[in-house]
Amino acid sequence: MPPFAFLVRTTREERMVRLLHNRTFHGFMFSAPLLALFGAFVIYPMAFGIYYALDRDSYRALFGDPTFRQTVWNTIWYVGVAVNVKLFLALLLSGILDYPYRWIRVLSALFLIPWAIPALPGILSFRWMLNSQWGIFNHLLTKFGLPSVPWLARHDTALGAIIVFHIWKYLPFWTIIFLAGRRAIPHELYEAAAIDGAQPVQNFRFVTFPLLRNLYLICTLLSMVFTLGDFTVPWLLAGGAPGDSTHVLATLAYRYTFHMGRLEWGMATFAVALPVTLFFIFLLLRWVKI
Amino acid sequence: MSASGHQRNRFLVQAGLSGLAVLILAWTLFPVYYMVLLSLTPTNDLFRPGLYIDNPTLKSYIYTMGQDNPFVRYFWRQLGTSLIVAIWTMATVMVIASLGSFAMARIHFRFRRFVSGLTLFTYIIPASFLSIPFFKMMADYDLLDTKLALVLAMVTFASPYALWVLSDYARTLPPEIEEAGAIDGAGALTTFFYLYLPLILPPLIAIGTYAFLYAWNEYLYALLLLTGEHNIPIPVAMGNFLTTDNAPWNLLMAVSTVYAIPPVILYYCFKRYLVSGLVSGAVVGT
Amino acid sequence: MGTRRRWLWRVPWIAALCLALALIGPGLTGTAAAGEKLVVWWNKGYYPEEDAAMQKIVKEFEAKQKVEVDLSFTAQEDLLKKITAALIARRVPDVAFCFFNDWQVIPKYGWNDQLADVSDLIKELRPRYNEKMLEVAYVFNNKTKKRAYYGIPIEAQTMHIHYWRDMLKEVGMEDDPAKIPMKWDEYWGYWKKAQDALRKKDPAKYGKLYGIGMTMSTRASDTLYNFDMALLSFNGELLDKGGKVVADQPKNREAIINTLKWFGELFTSGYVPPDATNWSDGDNNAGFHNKSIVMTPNPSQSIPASQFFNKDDPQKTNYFDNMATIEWPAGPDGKKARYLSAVKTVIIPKDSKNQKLAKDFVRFVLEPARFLEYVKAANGRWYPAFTDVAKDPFWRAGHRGPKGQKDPHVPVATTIYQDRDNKAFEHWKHPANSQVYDENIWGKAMARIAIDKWPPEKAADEAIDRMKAIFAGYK
Repeated sequence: MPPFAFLVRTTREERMVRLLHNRTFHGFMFSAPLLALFGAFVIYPMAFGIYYALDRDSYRALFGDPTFRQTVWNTIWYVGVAVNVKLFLALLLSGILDYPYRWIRVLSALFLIPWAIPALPGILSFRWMLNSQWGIFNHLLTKFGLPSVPWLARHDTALGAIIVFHIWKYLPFWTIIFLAGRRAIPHELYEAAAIDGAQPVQNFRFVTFPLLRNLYLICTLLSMVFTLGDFTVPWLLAGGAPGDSTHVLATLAYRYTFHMGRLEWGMATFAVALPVTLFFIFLLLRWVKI
Repeated sequence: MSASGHQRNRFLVQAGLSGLAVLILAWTLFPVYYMVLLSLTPTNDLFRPGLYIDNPTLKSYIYTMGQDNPFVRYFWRQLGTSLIVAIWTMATVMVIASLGSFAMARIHFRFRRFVSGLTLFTYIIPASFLSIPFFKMMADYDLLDTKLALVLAMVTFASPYALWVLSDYARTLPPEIEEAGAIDGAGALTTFFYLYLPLILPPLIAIGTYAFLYAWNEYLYALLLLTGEHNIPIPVAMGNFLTTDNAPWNLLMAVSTVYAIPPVILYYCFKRYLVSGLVSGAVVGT
Repeated sequence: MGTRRRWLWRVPWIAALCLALALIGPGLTGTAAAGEKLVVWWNKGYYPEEDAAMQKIVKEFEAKQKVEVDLSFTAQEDLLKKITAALIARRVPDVAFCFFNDWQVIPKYGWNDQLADVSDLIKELRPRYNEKMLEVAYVFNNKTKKRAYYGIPIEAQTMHIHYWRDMLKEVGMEDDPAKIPMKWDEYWGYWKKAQDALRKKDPAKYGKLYGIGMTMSTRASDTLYNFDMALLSFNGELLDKGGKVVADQPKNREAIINTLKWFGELFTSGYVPPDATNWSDGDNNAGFHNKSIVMTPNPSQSIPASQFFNKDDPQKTNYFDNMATIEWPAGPDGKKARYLSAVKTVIIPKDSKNQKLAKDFVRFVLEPARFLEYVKAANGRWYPAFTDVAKDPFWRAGHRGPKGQKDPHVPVATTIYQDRDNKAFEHWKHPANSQVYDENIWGKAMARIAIDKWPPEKAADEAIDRMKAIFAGYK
């Protein structure tokens, strides 16, 4: 049936019948709530944000602010290090959890806990453990005669803590994804490799990795885009301290908007990252089929 | 290679794995253990760090449940807010995603690619990037400080993934559904309700859980859209603890633990659905 | 058809779900704004008594004026965000009182012409005001190009220093507040000495104890108090009378460098907790209450007031015997300490439709007897901005202990307000100064020295340049 066939002049009943049998019409009717939702709450705010972010003065103000420059670097570090370390570990761990022993299944169930509990309780627990005066880490360090470290009061260790927390919280999720990816590899391939006398390392190099490579890349991109916008972890763990040196884009935008009343700076902060995000999205849209 | 060599190999692998497992478990569980430990610590021992406590007490939980401290004065109300928002998000996402997935997977209509691209775009763009315009928009609609605003935000950001998982599952269903419907002379709506919905129930449960947890865990949007002790959900109230003078950390950890329990239960109950749903969603790209 | 029948079994479940949703449905939009009533956003008190006092006033007002008042309490950080948001979106309450109004709201939004001019109300209340506290609301409106009163100051906080007498006693040091040396170096040296002595006496218990709980982080407003107080001690000025930046003048730059250097040395010499560069406003309080620091400078009397309400100490031994409040020391040049006050201020947004009623409400709250009851409910945490209310004997005498002890806190605060050189913070002079505080550039400069190991000169110049850049942004 040609699209928009219902626009052709016919009798009323005919039009109604055709309309009801038109696939385009049905498709739109069923995705109407979805489209309305995205139109109202994604496209509109997006356009709105871009409109606000077009003010050139904001960028002059942003790039004149040393805190902003530092924030851009922090974000690059956070996204670059946290995501890559996490995914690499996840790839290795998925290999371990793939062993067919029963206790491994128990282990993998327990291993899911950080993913299951919300981020906030974990962050609070980390914060307390990292306190320089009564945190457990420093307590143990001094017990072994090592100097205590002001974890959250130094730029490098505070940023490190944010990265470590990110890995703790999200490692299980990506491990499961890779585990599923591994299980999707046909067993015959390993059998064939075994006939060729392949050892575990060779198995990984010549069978597992080539087949997981695509998944790995997509996961890296996805996780990078998600992490780029992370607010909760940096905000609640360090709150920008010490000296506003551990902000990332999302926390800085929050600070600009709600602490300083500079809505347009907040929007501009996100707009700075938008080209990168859109590039990632472009790559993903080309690779991922839905 | 001899048989005993094989066995030794297997033993070595097991031993190595066990060592790693201990390490992994310590890394995974220690922060959780410490949270629970702190929640059981009496106030006087709070600042004496240790790996265990001598006099565990349930006082913090009793104070929390009884709302017997200014910090937890609205505990049940805040928990209720979290719950209402999560349930509404869950219900709305289930409706929208099941309708949408039917369109995406079972109706080959024009512009389908456009709809799916839009969905993927929404899934990928970090929610925080839209937070400030979203906030301004809700202020313009006069919806700030209403749960509706938060539900709308949560539905917006949880739907794309739900749709993705559902339509992926729906594509694997046999084509007989529509044919059976057509034989009966049923319209698309009838087919949807009577034939399609019952079949996608398992992934629907998974995405319902997912949406529930998404809303339950959310911090940023809740922080932006709701204010005032009697309006905010639990995570924002916990964040507010941190900015006040002299926050009682054992109480905070008790609240944390209570807040973390429902998602943990849900995860373990629906783990099977969740994992398969999530995985099919993520692996689909390859 | 089989599928259809199976489907029917699920109908009750679906119905139950729908019913549940219908039941919780009305809760969803429960708090949407209502019609003709006075909307009041009030800062949540630290003590339930404060909130109760406000609720009582509102009830009386409702009865008298036959109107409905929608009163809500919100914690300060949250409320600042809420007020900022409301002003940005132009969906405003009729009356808003937040502890951050004087610093972060009035100068900026007065400049933008978004606050109601309340000069008439101020004129009426003027005879009762402590003049020094009034100027915080006298800000410039960039639209009318005039200064006017854009807020109603009600109560003040200033710098106090608290310490644990029992800890000093434990190592045989003089603990009487009258006998603590008040000269600059000796004063700070005294707490260092206490730290050394306590650590030596009981390394297991006091191994991580610090002498001085000096907040030095960018996310605490306490930092700004500490910096500005110390800068006064070093005779530095940031703004002139008209609100122009004079921080870069050689004399002032010198003072800023000395001040920052002093903070840096305090930190690096190991007498301030390392986490102080990461503290938020409550963390020095927490550290003090759990005795991991001997003394802490803290604006407002929140620390003693919270000990007064300490449930675990019914005899109030901590409040009356174990801790004391003392003054800031004389400057390095021997000059007596000069103080800064932050005066907490009520605003009425210009977009409010009930401005007259809002003013009536504020007038009602501020009637002497009523306001006295309210401000006393905070237990001496705040000091009233009205001379008649401050005349009440409470401010000079304070509480009386169960064993007849004298109050070691409230009267000290009153001395600082009434008998010392005490002026208001200078945000009112220029909105850019608000932003200087928003960005906490002095906390940032401290971090540069303490953490990044910059020389004080470099940190001072970065901060001064930033300050000038911010001021240049306001045209």
